[in-house]
Amino acid sequence: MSALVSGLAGDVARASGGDWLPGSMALVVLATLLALVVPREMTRGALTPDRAHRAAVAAAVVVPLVICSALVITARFLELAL
Amino acid sequence: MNRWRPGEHYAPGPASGLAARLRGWPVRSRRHHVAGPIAGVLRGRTGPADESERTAVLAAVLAVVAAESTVAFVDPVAGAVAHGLLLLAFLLRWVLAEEATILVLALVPLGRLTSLALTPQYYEPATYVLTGLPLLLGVLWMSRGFPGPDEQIHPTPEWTAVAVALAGLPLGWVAHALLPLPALDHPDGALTIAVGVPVTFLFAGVLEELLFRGLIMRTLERVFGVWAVVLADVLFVAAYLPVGDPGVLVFMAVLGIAFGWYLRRTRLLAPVAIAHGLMAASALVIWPAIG
Repeated sequence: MSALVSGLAGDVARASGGDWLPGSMALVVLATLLALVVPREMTRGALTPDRAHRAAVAAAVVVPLVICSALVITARFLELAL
Repeated sequence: MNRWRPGEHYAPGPASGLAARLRGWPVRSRRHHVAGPIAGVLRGRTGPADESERTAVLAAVLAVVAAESTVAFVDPVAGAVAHGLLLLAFLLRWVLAEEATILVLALVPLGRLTSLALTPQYYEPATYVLTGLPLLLGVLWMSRGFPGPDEQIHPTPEWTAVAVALAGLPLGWVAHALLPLPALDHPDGALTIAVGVPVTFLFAGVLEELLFRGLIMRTLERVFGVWAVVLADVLFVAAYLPVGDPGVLVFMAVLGIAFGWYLRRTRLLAPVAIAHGLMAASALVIWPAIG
């Protein structure tokens, strides 16, 4: 969410767990992304034109989630490397 | 003057002065108003939404509130899973049933997933930028072509728009003085102020208004009319549930209703977005720096 809400969410997240938490959140984000992308690819070409168009429009949500996933993965790799 | 009402086909009317300059902000060009992701859906439909759509949208709003409550009161990982499932359900509903309101609501789970996934690892302005950027991208992407601010239902003098925008500074002082808000570390540091002010202005204020009032409230209006102000405010306050402070929730609820009422009355988003941005920047950075 936004800055203020992010900070508050971070407080909640940090208060509730230890080192496992970032990894768990990363898994949730990646699982959500896979659950979106895999069915999309499996149904590519099988959807009606209207639904295919609406699936393409959903990129407005999917692409930001891809960016979030990339940031999370990068952060995890950096943590492992440092 | 032709007055636009929720449920009617959007037909932009003439505007003048400051209203004309603010119209369409941040999209700016009215040419874009015909080609955006959900503009076609909102433009193409006329007449009130049917009962099934109303039920589906209301259920979606309540589901988001439940997921936010899970994050705040049960467990953040369980809440993240709930938001992930909601994201899937909303996009599926959009593809199958073409409900633009549901697609717009999917931005809330997206924002929460982003904030939960990244905030435990980063701090301070970097957190705000990293967690806000994906959501900002989604909001701007979806806003592209969104039917812009419409004919002013109640034309207002230009000075009121300026007054509303500048009201953010005293509101920020009130929030800083009365509420337990998370100020940045080293609040009087020059770097904190130089980076923190624009970052909090954009990612704490403007982004929230673009999402909750600019997109969510205006799509809910087509389905629920004036009650969209309340429903958008419910979602807005739900996003603040992790605070756990009743004062913050009441403050945000009143603020959200006031901003929503102003937007519905004037169709001008920029003044409330600037007011929220100034409030966030002053409450989190400026007033703590002054002391």
